[in-house]
Amino acid sequence: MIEAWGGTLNLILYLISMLGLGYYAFLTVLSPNTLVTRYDLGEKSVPIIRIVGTFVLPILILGIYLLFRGPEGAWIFLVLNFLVSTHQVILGWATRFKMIDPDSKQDVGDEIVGHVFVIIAIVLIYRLSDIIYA
Amino acid sequence: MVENFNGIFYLILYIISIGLAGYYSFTFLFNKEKEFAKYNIDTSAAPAANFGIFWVTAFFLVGLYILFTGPEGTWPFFVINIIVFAMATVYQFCFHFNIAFLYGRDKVNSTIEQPIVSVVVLVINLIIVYGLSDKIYL
Repeated sequence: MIEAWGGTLNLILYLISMLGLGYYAFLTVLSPNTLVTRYDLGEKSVPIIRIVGTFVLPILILGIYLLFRGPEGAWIFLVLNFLVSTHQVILGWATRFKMIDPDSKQDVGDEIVGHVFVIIAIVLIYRLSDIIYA
Repeated sequence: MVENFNGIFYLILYIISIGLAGYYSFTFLFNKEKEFAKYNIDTSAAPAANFGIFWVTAFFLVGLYILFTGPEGTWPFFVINIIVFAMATVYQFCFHFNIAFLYGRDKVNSTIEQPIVSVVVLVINLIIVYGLSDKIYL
């Protein structure tokens, strides 16, 4: 497994990324009320949060598959993760500067996680470029 | 572009699939009020909708890239789409017909549009994966 991922560092970074994704998958699919409370959302948000879960969970499932199979040729998966995290970061800053949804509640922890995911995605794409683009 | 997608049929199906992602991405980014009104959802759900829409927007952008560069080796993109819409189909049908996932169900409207769109996009993606299997798994 370590060889397939081009070294221990890449594998650890990928595992961190998948653990984060797993955490959000758990929240969106099995515990949407946690998000409702944390962000002061209404009960009407629960259906939307579950729809988000239908996006998060498949990416986690495929991510776990790639963990064991190796990332050969899977550039699009890593790029997709990078874009999702980048959008999360942009959205976080846009909300912080009151450019969108000025009344919404923010969570600094989630914003930090978004930045960490972007960095991990960039590092992984760079370090695995000879494998994922094969 | 037509050759990349094994003919005009699969290209049109792919454009429909990406077009729907683009439509929902645009609508929820720039016209939330209209969609929220349709489902009787108030503005408190805006952050949740934003959290969801950056996944759709990412799919749309990657999909646009594939449209112009061709689908060679992009099986993860299509497989994720199939799992997403398989799950969405189950969820939307259960939610719309009051079978499961009922928390908050009585407070929002549900239209038949969502289950139908999920099924249609699922079928489209299954056909695309079948038709492009010689390219996407390269």
